[in-house]
Amino acid sequence: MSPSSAWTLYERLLFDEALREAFAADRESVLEQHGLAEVDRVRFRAMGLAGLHADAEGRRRYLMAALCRPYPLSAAAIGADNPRALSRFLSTPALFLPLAERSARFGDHLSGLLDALEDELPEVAGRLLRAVLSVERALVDNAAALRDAAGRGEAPGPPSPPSSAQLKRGRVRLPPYLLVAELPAPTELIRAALGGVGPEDVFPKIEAGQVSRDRLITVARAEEQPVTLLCRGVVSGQSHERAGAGGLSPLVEVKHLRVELAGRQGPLIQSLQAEPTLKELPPAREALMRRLIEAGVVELTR
Amino acid sequence: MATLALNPPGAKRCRLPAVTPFTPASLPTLGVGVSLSFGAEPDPVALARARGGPAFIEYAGAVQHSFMERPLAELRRLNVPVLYHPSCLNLCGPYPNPRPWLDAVAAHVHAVGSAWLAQDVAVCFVGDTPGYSIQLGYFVPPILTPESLDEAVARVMEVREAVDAPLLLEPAPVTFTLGELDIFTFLGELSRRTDSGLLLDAGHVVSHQLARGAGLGDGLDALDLSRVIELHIAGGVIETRDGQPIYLDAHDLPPLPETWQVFRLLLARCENLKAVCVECEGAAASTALPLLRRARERVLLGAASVSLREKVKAELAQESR
Repeated sequence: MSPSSAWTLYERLLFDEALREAFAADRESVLEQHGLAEVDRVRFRAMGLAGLHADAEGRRRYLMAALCRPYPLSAAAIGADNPRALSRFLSTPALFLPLAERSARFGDHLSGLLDALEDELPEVAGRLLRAVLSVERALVDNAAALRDAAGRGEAPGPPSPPSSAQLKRGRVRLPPYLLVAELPAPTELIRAALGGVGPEDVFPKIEAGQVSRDRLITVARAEEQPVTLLCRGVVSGQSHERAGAGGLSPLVEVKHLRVELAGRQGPLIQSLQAEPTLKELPPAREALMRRLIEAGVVELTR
Repeated sequence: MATLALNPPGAKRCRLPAVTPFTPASLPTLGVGVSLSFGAEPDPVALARARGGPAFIEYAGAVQHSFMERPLAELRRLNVPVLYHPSCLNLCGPYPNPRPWLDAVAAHVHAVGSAWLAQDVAVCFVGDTPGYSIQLGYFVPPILTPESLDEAVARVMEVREAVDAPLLLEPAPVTFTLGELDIFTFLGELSRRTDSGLLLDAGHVVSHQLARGAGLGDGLDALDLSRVIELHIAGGVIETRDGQPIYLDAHDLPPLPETWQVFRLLLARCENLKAVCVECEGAAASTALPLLRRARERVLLGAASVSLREKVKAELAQESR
């Protein structure tokens, strides 16, 4: 059964800010555009605007906070002076996709907004932002793959410390669900430039005007301090995203164990393809590997 | 299993397939409990162990009950019944509930021994991929029109056919309404045409009365109150927007005086009431027990349901032992 035009308009009014404003300014035009029968027009004419705005505002705040959570740095930088551009995602059909797909599409939305900013940004800032967005997007995809695997009962949980036998004879290797990426600046520096935003407060901070893109441009224009990021996804449990009236969204919780190494460490990562034992490594590299094993981003075979 | 054929005057003729008839007398009296989330504070198991703790735990959560196996097993050991109150079913609107999704809900209800299944009458997902209401930010309440009522009947019957447990319909909270019916007429008709029970959240009733500018007890007669099996009492806040008072659920806050007023009114009129649930997700654990006690005292003082009064009397006696 396809939704009636009355339902379609009702649904859109809850999520589409621009349509809501048009409805508030000139109801008759909106009703005309949606081709509603007179009986439905009478119903929409009687609808209270204050209550509609209160409902829609609550949804917008909750949904935007949830959408921006996996993209704290890129959403902050891209939406810094224009939270409304971020919220436009709510008026697209992608909002109703399953969570993983929706989150990926929000990444596409950010990418589109970044394209539109291209002329306003120094090239170096654009490059930095693209790099940050692609890392955050890769983490979103990694988390989705892990949740899929969890649904099949195949997802790895947090790693346990290696046994002494493993430390002696185990081969060093890259674990599953590991992402390796290079960034032109440390993430802590980028975060600090963006007012210290984190997953939990990124959208409220953007809305409150507490994020400045100019500060990030300063970081982008400064001398490069490249870092190599190693992020390993693990299933850490079950979370309950909460909103009003006890509504909650049960979600397989994915955590990324993270290590950030100074410099571009591509060759180091490449060298692990050979799966050496710790003893086969030069002393300095062995010490580094032990730290990475302890952090859980590299593992030893049994 | 019986085949019901409900053809109310004015409604589309519909022949209902085989569903379990709704018989309040066959349902257990659960007493006064709480709604909480597993894995969040206050901890349901810890609260259930406390003196004066809840007589049952109501919870929302994933359709897959295996996600909550450990705390559910612990509550079974403590002989504390649980009620599954999902937020994943479309009980109105144009989007059907896929059968595998309904089967998973049915399996959940069966596995945890939930005496009934209750959910807000709302849209929880848009399109043909099922999900949870929170993905829309919140429940999307029904349009209150006769056409929308027909759709709601179809959605509720999808659930009734798939889930072999009594279904209780709850009015979702609102800040505004669309359509010429009031929620009580809509819900009354919906419960009658689908032979379902009712769960009334006193705060949600306040929300509807404020949205339509009515008195707190107005219009309740449109409901068949003998179908009310469970009441909710929960915290909320009344905000004023453009001069219009709006009720918003806030389970971490104490219930409003207006909510207690509606609660007392319903207690006195719902003769088949089996359970009162204090919703306190996100509230401080220290506030839950006093709230439970207050709810029990209200039940003892004014509930029309004899079996519930007796059960609560026993709960209070146990608490003071």
